[in-house]
Amino acid sequence: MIQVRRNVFETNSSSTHSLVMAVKSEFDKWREGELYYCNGFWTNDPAYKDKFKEGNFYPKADVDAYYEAIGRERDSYRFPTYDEFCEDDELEVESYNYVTPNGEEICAIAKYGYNG
Amino acid sequence: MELLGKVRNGNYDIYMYSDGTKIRKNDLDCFIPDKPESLDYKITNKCNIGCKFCHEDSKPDGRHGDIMHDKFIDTLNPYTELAIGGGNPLEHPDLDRFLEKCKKLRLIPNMTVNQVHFVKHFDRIKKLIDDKLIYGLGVSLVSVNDEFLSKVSQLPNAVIHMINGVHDVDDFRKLYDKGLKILILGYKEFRRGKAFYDDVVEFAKQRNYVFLPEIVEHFAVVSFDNLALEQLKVKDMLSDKAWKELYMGGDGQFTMFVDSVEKTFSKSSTTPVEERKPLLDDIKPMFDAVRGE
Repeated sequence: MIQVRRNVFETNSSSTHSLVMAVKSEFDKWREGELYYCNGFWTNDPAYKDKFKEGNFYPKADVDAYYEAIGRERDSYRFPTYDEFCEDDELEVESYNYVTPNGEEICAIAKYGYNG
Repeated sequence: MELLGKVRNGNYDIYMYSDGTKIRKNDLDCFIPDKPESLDYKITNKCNIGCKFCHEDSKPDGRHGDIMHDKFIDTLNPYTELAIGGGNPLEHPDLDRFLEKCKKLRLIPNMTVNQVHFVKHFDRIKKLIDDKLIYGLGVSLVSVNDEFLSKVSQLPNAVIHMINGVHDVDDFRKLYDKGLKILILGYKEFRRGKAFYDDVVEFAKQRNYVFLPEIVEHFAVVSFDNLALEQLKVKDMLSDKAWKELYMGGDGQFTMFVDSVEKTFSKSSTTPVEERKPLLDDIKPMFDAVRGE
């Protein structure tokens, strides 16, 4: 058997597209600093392994308590406030609001780059 | 083209050439690798906070991976490709030392940078390539201009990264007939983003599919990631024989992903964070775990 890849090395992609969507009440709490957004969480520690899930919002008190327990300052990349999430020198940031057919108000913040 | 080296991996041999050509060969009807042929290796975080946090390098949660102490690197086969990325890998303070180490281990480091960084750091990048510290170079396209074309044309192993949907056929046409190599990447619909999928992206993807037979005629090399293969239905353009010979496998079959910043590994960089596993000192059990998924 033979397989051939011709004239090109393997390079990776570092493109970025992300979107945070929330119902308006959740979004407002995030913007007012009552919630943090989980931008990615992983730990070896079984006590906290399943505590936070990427893509969800968590009360400020819960996240602060976690960082206090492990003796570190909050990582603003993993758990950004609304302002920290929006502050970006490299990526495009846009926000959208819309209403579902059921009347639910939805807010979205999109971040994307052309870094393919 | 020069043969860089040959290595046995599981039940087959790999021949690696200086222009990126790779040949897998055996007398059997399948390839079963022992270790990954290629590693997607994230050495620094794509961090929206960027430079302002560079002073935190020494912290356990710093934004750069401790690449000089990732022991598994010593257990890779010679001629394993490292697709180094981030973030902007050029910002990693240990990059040059790490590449020297790779050279001693006869690894094949390739790197991806954004077009803006490519133009800005061209002399440094060219020197890394001339010194055989970097082999393949991916450049993420932002916009086509004369300065970019002049520089990228000087590097025979540079491949221009274009995203299916973000770039459409009109962008491809600006690069036609210049002897360039391109890599078409699939448009990723992450997390909750799928619900907010843009019509403009969908339209551009459809146009690229229609014009793909035209596009492939105008480049020295047209390559695809697995997502783009699927989105552009590339298999339909090829005979079964050609597909069998040219398709290099799915994510995790011969490749895997290591995040040196978070010290985790997984099948690919799109594996959800909570499904990634803690990094080990030996590549073999990590690759076995990836292939077992």
